[in-house]
Amino acid sequence: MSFKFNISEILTGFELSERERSNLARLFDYTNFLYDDETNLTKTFNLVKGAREKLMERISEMFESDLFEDESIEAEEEFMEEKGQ
Amino acid sequence: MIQSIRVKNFRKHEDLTLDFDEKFNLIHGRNNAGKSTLFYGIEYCLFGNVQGFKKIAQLAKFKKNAVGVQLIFHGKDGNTYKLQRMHKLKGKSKSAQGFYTLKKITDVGEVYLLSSDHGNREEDLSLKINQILGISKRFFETGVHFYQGSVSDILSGDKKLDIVFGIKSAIALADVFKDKALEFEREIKNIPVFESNLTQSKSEKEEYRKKLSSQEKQQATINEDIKTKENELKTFETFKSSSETLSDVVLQFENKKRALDDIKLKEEVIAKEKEDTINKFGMKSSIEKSLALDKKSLDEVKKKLEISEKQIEAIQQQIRKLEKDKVETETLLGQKKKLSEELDAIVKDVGGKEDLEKKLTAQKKDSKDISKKLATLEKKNEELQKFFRDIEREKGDIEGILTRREQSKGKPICEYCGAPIDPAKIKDEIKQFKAKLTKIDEDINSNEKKSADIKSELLQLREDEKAIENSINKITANIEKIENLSNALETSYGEELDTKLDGLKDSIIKEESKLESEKKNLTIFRQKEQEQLKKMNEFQSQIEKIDEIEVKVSKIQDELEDIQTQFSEGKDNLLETIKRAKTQISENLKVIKKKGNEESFTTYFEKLIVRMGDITENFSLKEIQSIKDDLKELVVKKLTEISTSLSHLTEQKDQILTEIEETKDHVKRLDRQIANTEKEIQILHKKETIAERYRSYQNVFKDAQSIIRENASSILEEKILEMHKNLSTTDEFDKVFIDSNDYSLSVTPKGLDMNESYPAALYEGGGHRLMLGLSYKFSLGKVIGDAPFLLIDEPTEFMDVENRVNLLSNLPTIAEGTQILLITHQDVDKIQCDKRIGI
Repeated sequence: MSFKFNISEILTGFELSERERSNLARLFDYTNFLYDDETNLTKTFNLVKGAREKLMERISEMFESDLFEDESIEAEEEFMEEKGQ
Repeated sequence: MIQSIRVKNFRKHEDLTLDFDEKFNLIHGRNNAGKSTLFYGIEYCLFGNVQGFKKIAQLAKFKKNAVGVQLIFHGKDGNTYKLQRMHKLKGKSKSAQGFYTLKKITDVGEVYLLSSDHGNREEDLSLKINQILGISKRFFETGVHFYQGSVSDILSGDKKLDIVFGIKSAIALADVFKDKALEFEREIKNIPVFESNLTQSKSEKEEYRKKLSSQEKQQATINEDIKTKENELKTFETFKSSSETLSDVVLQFENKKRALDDIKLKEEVIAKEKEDTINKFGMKSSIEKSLALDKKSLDEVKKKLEISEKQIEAIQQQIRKLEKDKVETETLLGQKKKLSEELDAIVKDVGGKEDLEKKLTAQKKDSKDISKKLATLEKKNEELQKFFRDIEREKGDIEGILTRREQSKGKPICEYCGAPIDPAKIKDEIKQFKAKLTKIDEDINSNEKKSADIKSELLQLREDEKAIENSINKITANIEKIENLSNALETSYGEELDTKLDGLKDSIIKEESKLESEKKNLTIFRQKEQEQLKKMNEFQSQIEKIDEIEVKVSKIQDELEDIQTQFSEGKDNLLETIKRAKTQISENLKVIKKKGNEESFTTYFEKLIVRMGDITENFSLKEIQSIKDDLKELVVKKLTEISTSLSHLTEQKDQILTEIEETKDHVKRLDRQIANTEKEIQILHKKETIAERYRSYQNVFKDAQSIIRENASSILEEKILEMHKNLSTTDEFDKVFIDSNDYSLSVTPKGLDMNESYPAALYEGGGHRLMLGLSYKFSLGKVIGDAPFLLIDEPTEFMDVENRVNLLSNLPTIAEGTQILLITHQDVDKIQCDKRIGI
């Protein structure tokens, strides 16, 4: 029997880059961690709002960081320009 | 694999350390010895809590304020790790504050990996434990830690297995990715709106750019005009300078002309004054002659004055001498009077010299008499004293003889020869001696009275002698004093003193009379001198006045000469200045003409230049003043015009500058707007990409959960059947079946139709159910995560001895090399194991 409940192995079956696989595996581990804590669960074993938000934040950190990478520099430039005026 | 555990203040155990074998460890002990506690300790150390214990305080030993467990274990990576966890319990509520530290043990020492003291969270440790050991909390509860209740329960299924398998996590992730994708998809619908805004902003910006270009051209034209006007202004400033210089020179010339007129007027006034003075006092030479004569007269008066002053001085000197003599004589007379009065007082007090001498003679006689008396009495006194001494000696002799006689009354003998003496004779002698003694005492008494009288008289005489002596000394002193005073009066102060004083007084009166007469003469001479001096002063003052006027005349003539020279120079300077101004204006006028100024203006200046040329031929101050005023008026008028133009142009320049700034602001604002919009569009495009990716991830996890769910049941079924065959002594079942909805187990015993099955939870026989449960549990441990160790707590309580011993002895084979920690208190000796640990 070769199958194990290992998410990294399962993810190899999908068309993903190495980095994506690693990130999704980590995300899966993190979600498991959230599920391990009873306080994160509803009576029907779903994530409570707070835990779900934590998960969304983690996703944003992992996949959306390049959305705003130049924003802080631009904001600073804009501020300096206004100050100069 | 767990290498060792140390529990401290943990339930029953105060401080216990146990080392484990890497294979099969059997932990045995009586009931309530704390065997299960060791498994709680492992769970506590790995996850920070224990299932079934709501509070950490429940894990602590009674009355202890801290609880802690240390685990040393080998990870899947082959490394050894040390995990330490403790909780401090505070206050009555025993609220717990937890700490943990995870270190890697290497050859060179321990290396910190995670620590709550360094800000690491529980989540970090949990993920790390999962990474090192491959177990999560859920997996631990389901597939690692077995106890009898949990073994039987699993047969009815456990919905939490969805969590253990990660199905719930995959579903949640698919769901969250879907939500995130939807959120971004909503946002990217706005891309066309942003793109339309961008086009509009760019077009608006282009319009402002065109406007700016036009404004900048306008600004350049205005700047050119300003430059032209400024040059013109400079030219007319030079005209102004020429005009001002001309004005200054004209003013200077006018001042000089005025000064010349003034000095001429002054000269006339002084000439008149000189004429009047000569008419009044005459010529200076005649006044000087009169002055010489008066000076001669004054010298004579001065001589007389001098003689008179000398005469007065001599008289005054004589008077001073006489006065001095007079004072001396008067002093001597005073002294004489004082001595006479003193002498009279002495004579009145003690008598005259003759009386005193008589008294002295009498006193001296008395003194002699007393001396004689004293000599006589002293002689008498000496005789009496001698008598007393003699009679006292005789009395002593008689008293001695009497004593001896009375002592020798019995046998009287002669004291000189020692011959016996007749007692009767002795008696008579004693009688005689006593009578003699009585007589002596009587004589002494009578003479002592005499002696006292003589002594008293002697004392009196001596006092008298002393008093007479004092009196004699006093009288002698008074006589001497009188003699001295008389001698002084006779020798120092003769009778002629009064006569001399009278003579002196007369001389003084005479001299004073002479002085008075001389002083009158002196006063007359002084009056004369004053009169002469006054006269001379008048002459002198007249001469000075004449001299003063002559000086004035001379000075004014010098001044006149100077001013005439200056006037002449001023005229030359004025003509030269006009000439220069003419040249300068002529040259600049050419430039102005070139720049196309109005005709009338230049014509006017040309006329002015002609007038300037004429004036050098025919000098006229009036004409010069007129030229100067005309030039000034013309220049001021032109300068005002240019300044007004310049001011107007500057205003235009400021206005266009403000307009340019405003336009630039608009451009900048639009640039920012365009940049922002472009950025927004860029972000939205990125979001579009991310949304697509999220959709694919959603599908990944959706598929993943299907794969897990589909595979979980079939793999578990296969594994359970295999495991049961290994555990049981009999081959009971053809097939086992897992319901993928609730994970409940059904079995198909051998000989039964393959399509029929029974729920395992209802299968007959506790031992059978336990065996199935253990198979299920072991299978989970193998399938889910390949458990690094198994914690098995009394799994076989209701089994018969044979099956129990068989099952437990087979555990290492079933576990396929996984470390086993087995707790039991039954048939310990019969079970084969690698290490027995007694608690």
